[in-house]
Amino acid sequence: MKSIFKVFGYWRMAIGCLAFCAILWLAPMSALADRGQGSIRGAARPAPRPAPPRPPARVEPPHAPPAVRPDEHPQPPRRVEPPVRRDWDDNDEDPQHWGGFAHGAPVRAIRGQRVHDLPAHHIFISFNNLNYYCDDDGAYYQQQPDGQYLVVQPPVGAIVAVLPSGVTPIVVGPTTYYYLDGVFYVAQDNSFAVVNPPAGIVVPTLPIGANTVVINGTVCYQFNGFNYQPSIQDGVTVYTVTPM
Amino acid sequence: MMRATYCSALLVLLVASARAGADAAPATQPAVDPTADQILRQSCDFLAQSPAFAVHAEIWKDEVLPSGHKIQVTRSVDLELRRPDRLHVDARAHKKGRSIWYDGKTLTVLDREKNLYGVVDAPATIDQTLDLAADTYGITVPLEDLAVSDPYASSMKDVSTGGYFGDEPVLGVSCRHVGFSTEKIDWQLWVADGPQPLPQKLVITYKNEEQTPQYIAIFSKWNLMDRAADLAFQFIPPPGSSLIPLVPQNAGGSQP
Repeated sequence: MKSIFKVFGYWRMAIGCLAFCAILWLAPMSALADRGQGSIRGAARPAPRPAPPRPPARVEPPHAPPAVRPDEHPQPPRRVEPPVRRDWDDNDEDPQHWGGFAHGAPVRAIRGQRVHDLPAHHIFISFNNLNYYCDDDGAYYQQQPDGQYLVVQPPVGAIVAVLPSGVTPIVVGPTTYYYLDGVFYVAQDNSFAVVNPPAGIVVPTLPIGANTVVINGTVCYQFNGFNYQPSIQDGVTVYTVTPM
Repeated sequence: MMRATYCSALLVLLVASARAGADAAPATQPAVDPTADQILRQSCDFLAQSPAFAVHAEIWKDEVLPSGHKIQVTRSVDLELRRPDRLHVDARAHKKGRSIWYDGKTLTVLDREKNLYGVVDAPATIDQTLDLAADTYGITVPLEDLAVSDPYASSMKDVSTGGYFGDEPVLGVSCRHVGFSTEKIDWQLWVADGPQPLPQKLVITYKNEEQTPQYIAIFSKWNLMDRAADLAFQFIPPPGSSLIPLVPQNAGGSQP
């Protein structure tokens, strides 16, 4: 009887040890990797080109930029969106569809929009003998004869303390440009300057109100003195910007 | 006492040999349940032997936003193919959509929202064209796993483990539920239990990403055909559309 218990004891040890072996064998099976977008096959492919560096969430200048008179109100940090992931079936979402909830940012002012009153937080800017008002989101306004305010294109050379929400960072050589609706910004002395785009820069969206033209039989778009030549890259439509 | 010592030595040897085996060949000996493997193989073989088919898929896909919210976006995909050299895929989302046509000679990509399309020469088979689209043009064609000539080999390529999780209905169709793991993803498939073992549901979990987003596809309207007409795979430019360049990856200069 005693020897039976002894045999059971050894079997228990053996089973426990086998279970331990199984755990050891399974342990190296998980590792790290990235995403493939709705395709088992695609998950095995190499990772896409690394995304460009994200812009700073918000850069506050150590002092107010020249020609700018801040009214008051320190502004809270605002998130700058990273570039949209570039997959063929993965680029159809409309950020406005999420109503700003997902992004934690208000819907921005759209160029060409007229408003009765300026946003509560704004600064006055005098630039090239023209008067502008700039809101917390980097949108520029000009007062109209009827007293309303028109959202306008920020002039090249203007300085903004913060980037508007929704800008797309685009790396060209050593410089990172931030693009939104036909306006290009570069970092400058802890603020951001509005600049002309470098020839050949590729942007993901057309400026609102760009004109459609046909050049040498090929469709093209024009805005503010620049051609926006469409092409399909990485499965999505993008636009190469060149001077007109 | 001697017997106890002998047993201990034996167990240590067992541990050592099991560990050495795991280190030596983890990828060549996938731990896949034979039933799961058989279910997947039957379904894949059935697809591979279907000369032509069409299927509709409703897609639910998690998006993890920079703000940290995980939301779910939806789209529908219609795929039609004729082996070995015809493929048409329509993907439609809110207001937008993209489509491809492969007619054995050219690959056309249409941006439906902007009414712009690009065309490039394509190789002789669907497999080669899917590789061209992905490797050269950065285009992952939705549901490409169904379209390849050997879905089993393609989907099992990096699988390390797999299991059979029982029978479940999907939209009223009795299905056999299997799941597989690779280093990057866990994926599950629900295969119709019957003479036509067609996939009814696919779930891909990107387990190494933040918040482990999922891609869910429910398949319906399977239409198995002996022959599909050429017309379905021929691109006819929509009214007002314009031809634009289809640019290879990394050839477009600066990138947003």
